[in-house]
Amino acid sequence: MENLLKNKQYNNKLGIIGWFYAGKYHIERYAYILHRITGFGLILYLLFHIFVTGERAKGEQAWKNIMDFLNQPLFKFLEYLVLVAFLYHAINGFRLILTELAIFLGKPASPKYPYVTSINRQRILFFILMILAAILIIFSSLEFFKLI
Amino acid sequence: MKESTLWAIQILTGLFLIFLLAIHMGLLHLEEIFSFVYHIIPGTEKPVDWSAVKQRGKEVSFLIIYILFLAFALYHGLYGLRNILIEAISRRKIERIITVLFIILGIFLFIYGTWATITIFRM
Repeated sequence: MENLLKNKQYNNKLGIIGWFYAGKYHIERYAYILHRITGFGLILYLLFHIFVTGERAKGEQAWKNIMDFLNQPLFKFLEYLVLVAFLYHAINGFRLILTELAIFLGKPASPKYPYVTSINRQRILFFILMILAAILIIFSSLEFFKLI
Repeated sequence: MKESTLWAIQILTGLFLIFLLAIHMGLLHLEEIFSFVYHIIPGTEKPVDWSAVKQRGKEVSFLIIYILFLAFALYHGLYGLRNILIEAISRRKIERIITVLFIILGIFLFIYGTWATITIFRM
């Protein structure tokens, strides 16, 4: 690996910009971008969450203080974003696990023309799961804002 | 540890987190449905009220789940963030520094969270 890296150094590093544009992107690529953004949001929230919930170890008053402090529209909105981010990240992550383990890929076959691509299988899975995510996000949004 | 092993753990923790977080979010947001879990009366008490928090904290099942949950979430989150960072920076020296920093951060947060969980359990 070291040798490969030494011998083949292309000047093709795009950094974060490469997430959003590095040529011809298909829909899964946008799913990946969203997966990263939601994941980034969730880990930032987790760090914050550990310290907030850790306040309960200091007793009732400390807990009530932090809960009162967090009981304002900005934090409510951020909490809502965390809920939506989790739903997307969980369902897309489930899709990634299935893809990683080659489930729904079909049996290997000899490469005879016309070639069969796995896109036709994996796109369907993608759309089914994204529709599921959308339904769950809509339901939980209604529940979060006490509309149902 | 090999990168492939780390990635395998990432997938496993991810799979567990789907279920754990679904339960977690359900308990915290759908209190009308899951109120029986912490014996609260919906409308008068919320899952984040002190009485409910204390009651959960004193149960052995929650103690175990919280600590497991914390370990899984920290691993999954920090490993993911590390991957984003080393991909964006991609220098071997910095990669090692980031990895070590994240291990230290992860251990620190795990100790802090576990301390909080055990403290309320003993209250």
